[in-house]
Amino acid sequence: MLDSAGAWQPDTPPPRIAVICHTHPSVSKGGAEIAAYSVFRGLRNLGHDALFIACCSDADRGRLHLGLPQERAIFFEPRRYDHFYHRGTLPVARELTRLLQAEGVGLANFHHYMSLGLGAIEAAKRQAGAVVVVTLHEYLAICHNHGQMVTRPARSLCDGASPEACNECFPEHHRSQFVLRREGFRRAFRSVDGFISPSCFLADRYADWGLEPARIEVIENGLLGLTGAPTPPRPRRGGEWVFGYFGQINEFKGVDLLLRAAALLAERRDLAGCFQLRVHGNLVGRPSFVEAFERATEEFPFFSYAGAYANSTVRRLMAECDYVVVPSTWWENSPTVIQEAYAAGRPVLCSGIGGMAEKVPEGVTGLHFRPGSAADLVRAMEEAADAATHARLAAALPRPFDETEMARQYLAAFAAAGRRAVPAAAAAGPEAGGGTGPVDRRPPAADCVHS
Amino acid sequence: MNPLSASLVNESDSTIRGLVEIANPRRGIHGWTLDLAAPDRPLRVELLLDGKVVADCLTDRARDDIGLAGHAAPAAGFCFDAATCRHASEGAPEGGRFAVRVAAAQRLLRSAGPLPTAAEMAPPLPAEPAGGPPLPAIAVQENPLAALQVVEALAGRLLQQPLVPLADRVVGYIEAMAWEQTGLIWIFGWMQRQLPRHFPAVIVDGARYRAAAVLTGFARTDLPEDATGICGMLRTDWRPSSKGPAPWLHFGDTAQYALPVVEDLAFLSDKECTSRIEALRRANALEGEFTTPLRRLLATTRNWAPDNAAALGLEVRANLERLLVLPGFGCLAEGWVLSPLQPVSHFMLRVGRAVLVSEPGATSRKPRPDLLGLAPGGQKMVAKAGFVTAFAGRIEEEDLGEAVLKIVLADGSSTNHRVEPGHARIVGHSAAIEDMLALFPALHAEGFFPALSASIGERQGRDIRKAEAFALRPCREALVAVVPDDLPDMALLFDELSRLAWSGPPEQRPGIALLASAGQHRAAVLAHLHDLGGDEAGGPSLFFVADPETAIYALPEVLARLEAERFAFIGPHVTPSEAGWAALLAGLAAAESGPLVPAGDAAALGMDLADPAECFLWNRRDTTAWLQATPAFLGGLASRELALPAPQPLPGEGVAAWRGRRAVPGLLAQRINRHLRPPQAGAVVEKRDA
Repeated sequence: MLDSAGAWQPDTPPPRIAVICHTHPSVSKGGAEIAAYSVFRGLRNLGHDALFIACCSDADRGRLHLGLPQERAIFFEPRRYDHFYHRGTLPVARELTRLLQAEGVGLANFHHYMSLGLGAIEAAKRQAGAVVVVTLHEYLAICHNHGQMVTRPARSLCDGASPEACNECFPEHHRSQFVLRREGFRRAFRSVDGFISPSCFLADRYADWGLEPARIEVIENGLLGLTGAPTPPRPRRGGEWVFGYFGQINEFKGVDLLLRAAALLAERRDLAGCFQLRVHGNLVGRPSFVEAFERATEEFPFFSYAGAYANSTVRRLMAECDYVVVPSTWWENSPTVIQEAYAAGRPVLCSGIGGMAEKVPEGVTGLHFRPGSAADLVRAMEEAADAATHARLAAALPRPFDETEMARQYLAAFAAAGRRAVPAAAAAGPEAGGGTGPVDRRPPAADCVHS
Repeated sequence: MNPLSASLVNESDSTIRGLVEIANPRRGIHGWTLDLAAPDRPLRVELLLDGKVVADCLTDRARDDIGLAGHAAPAAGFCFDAATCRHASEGAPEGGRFAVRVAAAQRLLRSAGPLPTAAEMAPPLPAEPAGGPPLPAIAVQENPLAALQVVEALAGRLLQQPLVPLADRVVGYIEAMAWEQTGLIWIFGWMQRQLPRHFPAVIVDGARYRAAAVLTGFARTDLPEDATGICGMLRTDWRPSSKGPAPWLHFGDTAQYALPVVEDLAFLSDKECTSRIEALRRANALEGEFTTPLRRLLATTRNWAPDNAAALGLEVRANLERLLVLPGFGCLAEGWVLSPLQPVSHFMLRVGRAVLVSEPGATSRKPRPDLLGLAPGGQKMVAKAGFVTAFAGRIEEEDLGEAVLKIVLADGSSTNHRVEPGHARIVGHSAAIEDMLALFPALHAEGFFPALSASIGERQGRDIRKAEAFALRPCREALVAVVPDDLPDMALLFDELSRLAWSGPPEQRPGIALLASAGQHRAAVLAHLHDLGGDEAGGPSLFFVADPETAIYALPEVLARLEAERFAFIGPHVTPSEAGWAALLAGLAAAESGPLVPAGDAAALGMDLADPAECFLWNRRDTTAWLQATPAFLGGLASRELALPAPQPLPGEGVAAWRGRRAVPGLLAQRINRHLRPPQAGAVVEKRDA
C-alpha cells in the first residue's frame, strides 16, 4: 500500500504497476501516449519496476519500437474494434489479463480504453484482480464525436451530452443507443478504483456526467525530459512581434482561424508590418484547407510556414517566438503545448474556453480570445504586442514539472485508489456474484479534487 | 450432439430413429425417420388421428442434416401436407390428436412439440376479407376473364358451407378437362339443364379452392331431356393431383349442387380442346348466352405472340414501364397505351404460365404529355394514355418468366406487347413493400388490399420460420440471442456474452445459441463466434435466419434442433441490465413456468425497456404453440405486434432489458400487419396503439 506521499508503506509489498495505453509513442505521438509514457518513465526514475503495455494495431507492427525491456505490446484488429460502444474483442481482453497475471501486476493505470475496449478494464479488475486507475484524456465517454464535445456537423461547442442531443449530431444512430452507450461506460467505470484528470475542467465535465467527484484526482501532465530554466525574452529586432503556432496543422486545431486572422491583419497595415505569424507542425488537413494554407503563405509576407518539428526542438523553436498561440475550437483538456510554452518561458494566446482557459489564466500567463473569432484574435495580438504586457505575463509563468514529479503525484493518487479499491467480486457482473442495482444517479460534483 | 443419438422413437432398443419436426395447419406434418440397420430402405410412415390411420406415405426426401456416416443425404424425410391433414381432420372428433408412427415398427415417433388436435389442424376458415368496397359486376359478354376473376372472389362465402360429397347434390359430371398455358381450365361434361351457367364455386379434393365457372350448353343425345352437355371455362388455383380423393365442384347459393369429376377423366391437349369446341361450333350445337364470349376467350387466351400490333394492322402502341410482382397475389403495373382508333377495354398480363386480367375497379388513367412526340397533335389521346392497374391472380415464383401485356380493345380485338425484363420487380425481393405506394398511393384503401396483405403475410411466413444450423451443440437450457445487423450493437451483444465466457467452465454455463442473418456482416458474426469458442466443445451454436427482426419465428425450429426444453430469448438490439442477465441465467436453471420477462420500472431506470416478446424466459413446448399461432407480421419484433401471452415479471431489483435501435416498419407495413392480426388480438392491439 502507498502512503499519501507516494511511498510504499513498510508493511505491504509494493504492487507492480502497469501503465496501459491505446498505442505506443513510437507509433503515434498524441497527448495521451506521451502522458502515459511520461508516467511510465517517471515511475522507473522513482525506482518502480513499472511496465508499459501498448495496445497497437496489427498494421503498426513495423513501426513499433519498444525502447525498454519493460515495454510490452498486445495487438488488436482495427476493423473489429467498435468505436461506438467502445467494445473490444475477447482475445484482446484475455491477452491483457494474461499479461497482467504473468507479470504480477497489482495496479493497472489505463491511459485509454480505445483499442482495448471497456471490457479490458473490467477484466483487469475482475480477472487479474488489479487496482484499476483510469487517466481521462478527453471526453470520449461523454461524446461520440471523437470525445471533443463539439457538435456535428456545425462544430459548435457542446455544453452537455444527452441521448437526444447526441442523436441530433449522429442521426445514423438511435437515441436509445446513446443511452446504452452511456450506461455501458458507467458500468465499466464501476470497476475503476480511481480516475486521474489532467485538468479541473475535464474532471468537472465527468462529474457532471455522473462520475463520483471524490474518485477523480487532478494531476497536470509532466514534461518528459524537462531540463534547464525558461528561456529569457527574445531580443526583438525592429519591434517585430512573433506569434508561433505549434501542433498539427488542420482546421480542427483552429489553424483556419489563423488564416482568417492573417487576412484581417493584411488589411491593417499598421499591424501587418510589425507582426509575424509563424506556423510549425505537420500539414495534414483536407486538400481545400492545404490549398488555402499554402495560398496564405504566398500572399501574406508576415505569415510563414516553418515546417514540421521534432519534440526535442520545440522549446528552442518556441523561444524564437514571443507568444505561443493555441486557437483550438474544442474544449481541449490540458494541451501539452501550453506546458511546453511555459517551459520555454513564453506566454500563451488561447481560445478562452475549457482546459485552455484553465491552464492560461486570462491576463496572468496569457491572453484569451473568443473561440473561432479571427477579429478577437487580432485584438488579442494587438494587446499582446506591448513590451510591458509581455514582461508582466512572462514573469507570471509557472514552472512545469517533469515526468518524475508527475509519477510522484500519480503514486499518491494510486495509493488513494488502493484505499478505495473494492474487491473484484463486488465490481463484477452478476455471473461473478456481484449484481448491482439501478443506475447511480447521484447529483453532479460541486467541485473537483486537486492533488 | 448428433441428431441420430437424440431423436429416437419412444423405445431406445429400436434401430429406428426419427423425429416429427413440424406440425401446424399451414405446413402440415413433416419430419424424418430411418432405420439404422438399413438407412437406404424407405420406411412407410402412418399418420394417425385419434389412434386411427388416416394417411400414410414413404420416406422419400433427402436430408443432408442428419449426419449419418456414409450417407450424405439419406432420403429419410416425410411429409403429410396441409391439405391431407385438413382433410383428415374434417369430421373427426375435435379433441382427437394426431400422431405419427413407422408402420414397420408400430412405434410412435417423438415430436419436437405436442402434435395438434383435429380442431387445431383444421381451424375455421377465414372470413371473407373486409374493408374493401364490393367488386362491381362485370358482364361476361364484355369481358369474360374479368367476370371470372370477379366471380372467383365471390366464392369465399361458399368456403363457409359444409362441402360434403353427398349423392343427392350431384347435378352432373365433369368428364374432360384441358389446361390452358395460362392456368385457366376448359371443362366438358353434362349437368341439369335449368341450373346457372355462370357462378362462383369451390373445388374440394381434400383442400378447398375457390373457383369461378362460365359455361355454355350443347345438346347430347345420350342425356335425358332435363340435362345438357356443358363446355366452359374454370378459373381456379386448383390443380389436378394423382393423390387424394377425386375432386368435386360445389356451387349454388348454399353449395347445394355438385359436379364430381368422373374417375376416367379425359385430359385433352390444346389441339383436342380447340377441335372439340370448333366441332360444336360448326354443328351449331352450342347454345346459351355465353357461347360468343367463350369463343372469344378461346381466341384471346391462345394468342400471346408478343408485339403483334403491326401484323394485325392495329395502330396500338403501349409500354408497361413498371411491374411489381407479388407471388400469390398478382401484380401492380404502370405504363401507357396509345390507341387512336378504339378505346381500351381492359388489360391482360401473361407472366410465365399465368394469365391475369386487370382489376376493373383498380384501374386509373392519367395524362402522359411526354408521349406527344409519339402522337403529334394527340393532346386528347395522351391526356389518358397513362395507366395504373392491378392484376390479381396467383403467380408462383416458378412461373416468373417472360411477361406480355395484352391491350384488349372495345371490339374485343387485342394487341400484345412484350414487357422488358428490367421493368419487373418482385416485392419483398427486388422491390420494397413501400414501392407499391408509388403506383397506388392509397393502397390501403383499394378493394384488393386485404387479399394483397394476406398474400404478403403468407409469403413472409414461409421464409421466417426457417433456421439453418452453422454450428449445432445441443443443450437442455439455452440462452438464445439474436445478433443484430448493426455492427456496434453486434459488438455490444458479444461483449455481454463474453462475460459468460469468463464466468467458468463450459459445463457450468447454459448453452448459447446465436441467430444471425447471413448478410453483409456474416464474417463479423463468425469472427465473434470464434472468439467465444465457436470451434470448441461447449461453444455457442449458430443458426442463420432470414432477418434478425423476424428471428423469433424460427425459435421452434431452433429449439427443436438444440433439443432445448428451457431457454432465455434476447431479441436484436436488446441489452439486459446486469441484474437482468443474472435473473435470466438464474431463471434458466429454475423450473418455473413462463413466460417470465425482465420487466423493470422504465421511469426509474430512465431507459426504453424492451417489449415482453423481445426478451423472455420460457419453455419450448409453449413457445412453439404460441409462435405457430402467431401471424408472420412484417417487421417481426419491430412491428410490436407480437404479444407474449400473460408474461410475468422476473423477480429482483433492477431486473430489466433495455431496447436499442429499432427500425419501425413503415406505415404500409403497419397497415398490412393490421390485416394479419388474428381477430381476437385486434382489439388489444388497437387499445395499445391508442
